[in-house]
Amino acid sequence: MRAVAVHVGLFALLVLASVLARGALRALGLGDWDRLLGIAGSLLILVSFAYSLRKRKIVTRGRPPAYLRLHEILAWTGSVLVLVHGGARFEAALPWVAQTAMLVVVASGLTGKYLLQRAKQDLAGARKEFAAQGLGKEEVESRVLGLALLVQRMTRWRAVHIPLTLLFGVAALAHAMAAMLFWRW
Amino acid sequence: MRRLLLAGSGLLAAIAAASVAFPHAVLSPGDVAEGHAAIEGDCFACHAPFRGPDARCAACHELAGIGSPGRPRFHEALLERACAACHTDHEGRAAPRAVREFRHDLLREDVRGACAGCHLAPADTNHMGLRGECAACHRVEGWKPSTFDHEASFRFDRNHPADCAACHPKGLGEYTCYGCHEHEPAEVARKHRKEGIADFEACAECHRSGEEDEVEGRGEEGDGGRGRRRGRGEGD
Ligand code: HEC
Ligand code: HEC
Ligand code: HEC
Ligand code: HEC
Ligand code: HEC
Ligand code: HEC
Ligand code: HEC
Ligand code: HEC
Repeated sequence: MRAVAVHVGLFALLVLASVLARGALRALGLGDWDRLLGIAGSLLILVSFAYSLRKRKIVTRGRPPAYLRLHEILAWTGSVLVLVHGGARFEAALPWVAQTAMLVVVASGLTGKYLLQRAKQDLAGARKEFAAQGLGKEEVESRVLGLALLVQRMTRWRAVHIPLTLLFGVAALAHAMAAMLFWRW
Repeated sequence: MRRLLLAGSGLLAAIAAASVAFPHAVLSPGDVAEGHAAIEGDCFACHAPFRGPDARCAACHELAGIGSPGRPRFHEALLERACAACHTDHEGRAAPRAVREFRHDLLREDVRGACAGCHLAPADTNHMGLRGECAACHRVEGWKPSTFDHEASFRFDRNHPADCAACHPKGLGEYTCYGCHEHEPAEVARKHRKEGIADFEACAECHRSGEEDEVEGRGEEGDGGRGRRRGRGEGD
């Protein structure tokens, strides 16, 4: 229950932080920073995908959990910046779709984080149980690894998270290209 | 991975098609002003690709003709045709104004310098009987604070607050100290005669503040400007 509250809280904090930051920028007359924030936020999110590279072994240095942490932190922070950049504006469909998709992806990411945390707990529980059954250490590990249920749960989650991310990425890319077409350089 | 790339490209193509078919709904940051309603869907009437929104405004608007009667027509005197620096659009059909910020720095210098052509001074004590250009006391960044530094003329203090009319009852072009020291002209005269000063009418030539000890020597003998301010900046 507490874990659920934490993850819902992280999402609420994202929205709250961006609303406050946007208000502060307006108050300080820094409305021109909008564009910069959009670019900075996208870059942060892009860098956070180093995690995906590590997972697919395109990058092989470093520990995956550290990359996951990086992914969580950078993607969250980048999303705040993008939200400050976009705000609650609904005139054009494309940026609106991009931003909404981003919010859904963040929500899905937090759900994944929660599922993973619970999986770890379940795993620890299973380990204890097997050990109590008097199984040897190696036997316990091999049985735990075989817990198909947990693996399945995460696979099903990824089947949602990754296409949503794709939608967000493509919409954001198209939005950036359109913006560049219409800007003065 | 390949499936993702494929799906991504398909999506991008779909977005591109939607943008071409419905540019306003998909891409536009807002409705354009009433006058531009007819060209709202024709983005490239105003926007030139990669060259910003204002590369083509002058194709429709005759710059020489723009302006209200009685005001300088400055559109022809713009250093750059950066219309969007001052004008905005996409602010909705009934946007109250088409000007968001007035960029004085885009005006040719001679046009910009003539502030009074576009601005009226308020009728307050700071501008009574005003002579001289606004630019002597103001910058374009804002009317307040004024760059005018009265200290060089007379320093204000507790006894001499910045109540302009007390010393400049007839306008800023001249001053008098007798508004307050009036009840004591005889006393002032006596004090000054005691100091060997017979000609003391041009008070500020010696007094730049109300400090008794802060008295300057007199300017050139026979200075005709007694009680009147000297022309500021004459000859420089
Ligand atoms: C009447 C001229 C005009 C037309 C037509 C027009 N625009 Fe604009 N557009 C402008 C101006 C002026 C600005 C700059 C507004 C500002 O900076 O306040 C602008 C800005 C933009 C911006 C950039 C906003 C930003 O925050 O940088 C985009 C995107 C844009 N227009 C898209 C479009 C699209 C899409 C269309 C066609 C559906 C279109 N415009 C039609 C005049 C026009
Ligand atoms: C395709 C021709 C065309 C283009 C391009 C165009 N305008 Fe206009 N504009 C008009 C017409 C027509 C009107 C309405 C009649 C009028 O007021 O002169 C108008 C009106 C205006 C007005 C009057 C105020 C208002 O809110 O209606 C302003 C200001 C203006 N345009 C500025 C611009 C600027 C700045 C650009 C470039 C970003 C631009 N126009 C591009 C045709 C054009
Ligand atoms: C330095 C700021 C500035 C720039 C740059 C500028 N304008 Fe203006 N424009 C104004 C102001 C202020 C007015 C109102 C003038 C008045 O009422 O005398 C105005 C008025 C207009 C109007 C008439 C609006 C009406 O209500 O009738 C048009 C059209 C216009 N501008 C077009 C342009 C175009 C086209 C450009 C680019 C070549 C441009 N302006 C650049 C400040 C600017
Ligand atoms: C001799 C100096 C002087 C000159 C010349 C002068 N001003 Fe001022 N003006 C002042 C001072 C001092 C203030 C008060 C500034 C403050 O309150 O910080 C002021 C304030 C103002 C204000 C703000 C009034 C308010 O209460 O908001 C305006 C507007 C203004 N001036 C316009 C003009 C214009 C227009 C001209 C030229 C026609 C002009 N001034 C010339 C000294 C000057
Ligand atoms: C060609 C006309 C023109 C000239 C010349 C001009 N201005 Fe302006 N100025 C404007 C317009 C238009 C505005 C915008 C008024 C508004 O927003 O209501 C403005 C606004 C201002 C403001 C208000 C800025 C703010 O944020 O409130 C100040 C201060 C100012 N001008 C000072 C000056 C001074 C000082 C000069 C001379 C060096 C000068 N202007 C010359 C047209 C002019
Ligand atoms: C206590 C008296 C006193 C008060 C109050 C006072 N002044 Fe003056 N002012 C002077 C004197 C003295 C001079 C200097 C005249 C000279 O040097 O010839 C002067 C000079 C000036 C000048 C001419 C400066 C120059 O160098 O051209 C201006 C403009 C002026 N004052 C504006 C104001 C304004 C605006 C106020 C109100 C905020 C004000 N004064 C309040 C005494 C006063
Ligand atoms: C608003 C009223 C007022 C005006 C106008 C005024 N004074 Fe004064 N002044 C006073 C007061 C009050 C004192 C302190 C009482 C005193 O010593 O007489 C004073 C004191 C002085 C003193 C110092 C006297 C001392 O014994 O310390 C000098 C010098 C002086 N004023 C010069 C001037 C000059 C020069 C002018 C004109 C530019 C001027 N005053 C305009 C009110 C005024
Ligand atoms: C030629 C220079 C000169 C001129 C002009 C002048 N004063 Fe003085 N003033 C002095 C000197 C010197 C003193 C004596 C300073 C001291 O006692 O240390 C003095 C003293 C004063 C005092 C202080 C007297 C006291 O009670 O001790 C006042 C008030 C005063 N002046 C006002 C004025 C006024 C008002 C005018 C214009 C009508 C004026 N002065 C013109 C040089 C001048």
